[in-house]
Amino acid sequence: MMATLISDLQLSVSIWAWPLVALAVVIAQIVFQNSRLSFLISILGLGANLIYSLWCFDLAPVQALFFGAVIFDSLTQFLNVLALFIALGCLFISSPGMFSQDNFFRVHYEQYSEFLVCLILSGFGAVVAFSANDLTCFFLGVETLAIGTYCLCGFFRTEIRSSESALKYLFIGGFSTVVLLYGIAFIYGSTGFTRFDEISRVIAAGDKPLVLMAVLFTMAGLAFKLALVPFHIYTPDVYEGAPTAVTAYLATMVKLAAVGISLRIFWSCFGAVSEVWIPFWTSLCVASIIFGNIAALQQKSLKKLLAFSSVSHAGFLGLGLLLADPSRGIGFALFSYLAIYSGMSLGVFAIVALLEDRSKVFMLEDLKGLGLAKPLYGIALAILVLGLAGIPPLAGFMIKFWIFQQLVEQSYFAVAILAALGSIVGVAYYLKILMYLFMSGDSDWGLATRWSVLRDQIFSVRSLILAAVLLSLIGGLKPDFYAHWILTTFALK
Amino acid sequence: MLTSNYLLLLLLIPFVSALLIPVLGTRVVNAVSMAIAGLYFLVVLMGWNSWNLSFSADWYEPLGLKYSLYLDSYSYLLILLSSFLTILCLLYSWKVVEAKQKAYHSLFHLLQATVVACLLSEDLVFFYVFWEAMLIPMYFIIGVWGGPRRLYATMKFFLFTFSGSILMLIGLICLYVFFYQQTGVWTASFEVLREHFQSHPLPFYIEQLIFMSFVVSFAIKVPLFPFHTWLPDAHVEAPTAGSVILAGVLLKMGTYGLMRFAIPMFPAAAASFATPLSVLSVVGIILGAVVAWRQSDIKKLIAYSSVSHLGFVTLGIFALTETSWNGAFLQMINHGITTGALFLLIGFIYDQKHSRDIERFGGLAKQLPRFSLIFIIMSLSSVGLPGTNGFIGEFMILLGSFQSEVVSKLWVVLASTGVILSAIYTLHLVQKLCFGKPAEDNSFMKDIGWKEYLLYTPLVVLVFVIGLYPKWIIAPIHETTSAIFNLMPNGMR
Repeated sequence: MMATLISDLQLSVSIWAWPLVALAVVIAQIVFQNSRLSFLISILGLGANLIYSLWCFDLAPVQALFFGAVIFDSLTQFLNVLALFIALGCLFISSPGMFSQDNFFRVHYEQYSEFLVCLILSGFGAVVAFSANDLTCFFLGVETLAIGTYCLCGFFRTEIRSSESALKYLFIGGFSTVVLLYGIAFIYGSTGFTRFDEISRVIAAGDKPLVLMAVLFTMAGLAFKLALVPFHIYTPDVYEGAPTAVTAYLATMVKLAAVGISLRIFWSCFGAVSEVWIPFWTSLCVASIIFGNIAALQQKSLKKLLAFSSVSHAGFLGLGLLLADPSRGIGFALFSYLAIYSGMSLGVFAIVALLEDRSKVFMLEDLKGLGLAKPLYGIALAILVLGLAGIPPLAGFMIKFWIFQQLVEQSYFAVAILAALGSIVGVAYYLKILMYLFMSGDSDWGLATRWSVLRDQIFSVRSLILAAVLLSLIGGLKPDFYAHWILTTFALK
Repeated sequence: MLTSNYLLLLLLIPFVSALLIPVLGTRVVNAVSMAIAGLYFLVVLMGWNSWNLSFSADWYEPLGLKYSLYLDSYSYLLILLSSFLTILCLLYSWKVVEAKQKAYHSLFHLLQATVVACLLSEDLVFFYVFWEAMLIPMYFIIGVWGGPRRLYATMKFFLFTFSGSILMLIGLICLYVFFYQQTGVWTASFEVLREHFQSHPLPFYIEQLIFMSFVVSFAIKVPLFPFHTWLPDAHVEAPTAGSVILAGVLLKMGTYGLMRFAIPMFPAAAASFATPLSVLSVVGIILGAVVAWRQSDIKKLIAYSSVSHLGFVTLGIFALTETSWNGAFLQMINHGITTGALFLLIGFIYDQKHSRDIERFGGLAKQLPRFSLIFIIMSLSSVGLPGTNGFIGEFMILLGSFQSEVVSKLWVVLASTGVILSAIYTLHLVQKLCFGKPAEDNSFMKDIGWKEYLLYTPLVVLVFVIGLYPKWIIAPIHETTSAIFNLMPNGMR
């Protein structure tokens, strides 16, 4: 007993290292009271974890740990690595705000360690959620993730928009949790098990009248997390009010976790009744792609626009999930979409964080002339935005290409055409951003001067932007480097 | 004898120069950029008569995507035309475009690069990537250096072409996936796919659907009636050099796509749609001509005349005879020369008078005799006067279409009225511009100088060289045409 526990702990270092880092930050803050030190500890801790996870990337057969509560398979490891990248990216994004001489941020500087702890712990929640093999463990993970994000959204507590964001997210998130819990109750009620493998066995074995209810409620709960239409209504306000690093976190980490757990729930638990959930899920995804893009077209606030754009990307992620049928051994489109989309989003939010003036809403018009005042940042943003729009030869095109290719391969022709039409709308608003960047004439770009004095020298953010741009460029022209990794990880063809 | 590395050279020179130009000093940008363009033109010239080269490198091996290049006389002549027009455009812009020169030159080289990549590609996905990528530099050229309504025009241009091509993407993915499902091999190589689907035809309605997805995308680019509405806006708002490349090169990509990909891939489907498509071409010819006649903006007039002229080209293509194809291809080149020259000429007077209103000119033959001479030569070539290049092209198209088995003679007869209509609107333009009493004082306008001589002389020479001795250019065109027709099923020839 003890021996298995110890060996389980050894195997899952990269999971429980997360709270360990958070703990180290807490202790350091109590002893030294230095936010910079806390930041350094978080970066080093997560970085070490990342290196360790990559180093020990283990393609051995599936391991169920802790008496079957956690499953440490290639999916867990892959998503864990991505989660570490995302958490580091979000920390980098948060750094300029925290370390600037700007008065607004100095007020919050004292509490920066709390921000770090919340972020790391909610990341831990995400990891627990997608590595869970048991409904209870899964629910604990989801809640840890959610509670952390509520705190993060309201981190600028003196600011009304931030509080609004937190409150809205808390209410709607709480509601979605209840719905998810209801679905979990139905699963348990109809099968009598909490372990995924046993649930799937029971569901596959026979006709369970309650399975439909279980599927619908669980799906609704997960769609809230992934922000699929019509469960996306909270995104614009929450994304806009939250600190930009947190917005990036919501758009990447929460979606990553949602995709991971949906993958487990849908394909591991409900794999046998896929004909029940596929029509519902497909319509949610297609609706997200189309309505998310149409809604984004109307936005004047940059962060709201990005919020709706993330809704449409969630639709593509959802389609990827639909295609990731493990019995056919394909999930390549989903995983590459997840990785590349997260990278590009982090890059975009990093630029937004650099430019942002927290005292007012960041309107699209505030971008006017940035491309002329700061051509390098303008070009970087242009490459990332075109990447998100899916214009070749950038990485964003390749990931959409793979989604389309697998849709056609599995004969979802209508879905492919609707998704393609939706992404035409998407291009329109991404082009609008470029228009403000480069084509609005030489306006007096007050923000440019202010920003160049204040935050131009922040190395961490600049390196993050550079990495994202390179990912977007190289990922399109030579996708092997990540594709190979995904293929070998999941032993795909 | 040139080796396949020559193709790599063709592809890489413009890419490298697009990257190189931004790092140059402001003073030398113009000179270096023009020197590179000139050098590139020489490199292209070197390849005369050495077509049928091919080159291939892996892009993404597990899915059989390749950077595979192939040079035939079609692509060669268009590359030659594009590199030639690029020199003229850069020369024209010298001392005219003063704002953001580095970006301007870099974008022209990038445009050249994407066009060349598109023309050289043999892999359908690779073709698609650069087909889309071509939009980005043009989007910026119109949007940054364009006229007052440039934002509207460039957005319309981008969205129109993008909407068409995303449908092509779905069609192309269908081909790619069907091939895999039938053979178990991933490849997007045009030749392999063509051979396979010729010997193992798909159900006819699927062939038709995929063919139409290609045709819509190409037709928007050409533009074929009723997809032409983006063209006048784009032309009017684009800077002069942008209009030249747009008319001279980008529109040809659509017809090239039809001749090189859509029709050879599905000859039977093409024959089944020949009547509706040639009717649309005829409508385009007549409507374009009539609308051009009523324009007061000179650039808009030429834009509509492009619709009319390209209607001839598409009629020749859909007539599906070797003669009409030779004529159509020759007419593509002619249109690039003639319309390119007309745009350059209009740009020349616009830069002095800052007006394109046809009513505000008049009597230019007295004030600008040299300008008027060249303008009249180009207009007559555009009308198709015997002895000029336009005559040969239109004559061959009409002759070939008349022999066609798939297109009714009625449509060809109607199309020939387009020749008369084109004489009406062109001579109307010449009369208003060069003769009669000037509407207002034009005495400040200068006649063409040595720079303009340098610009227009080669174009005038080409008009007569092709018009009087067309064999040198028709022989290589015919080589590829007959190669394509030889591969089509017997009923088609």
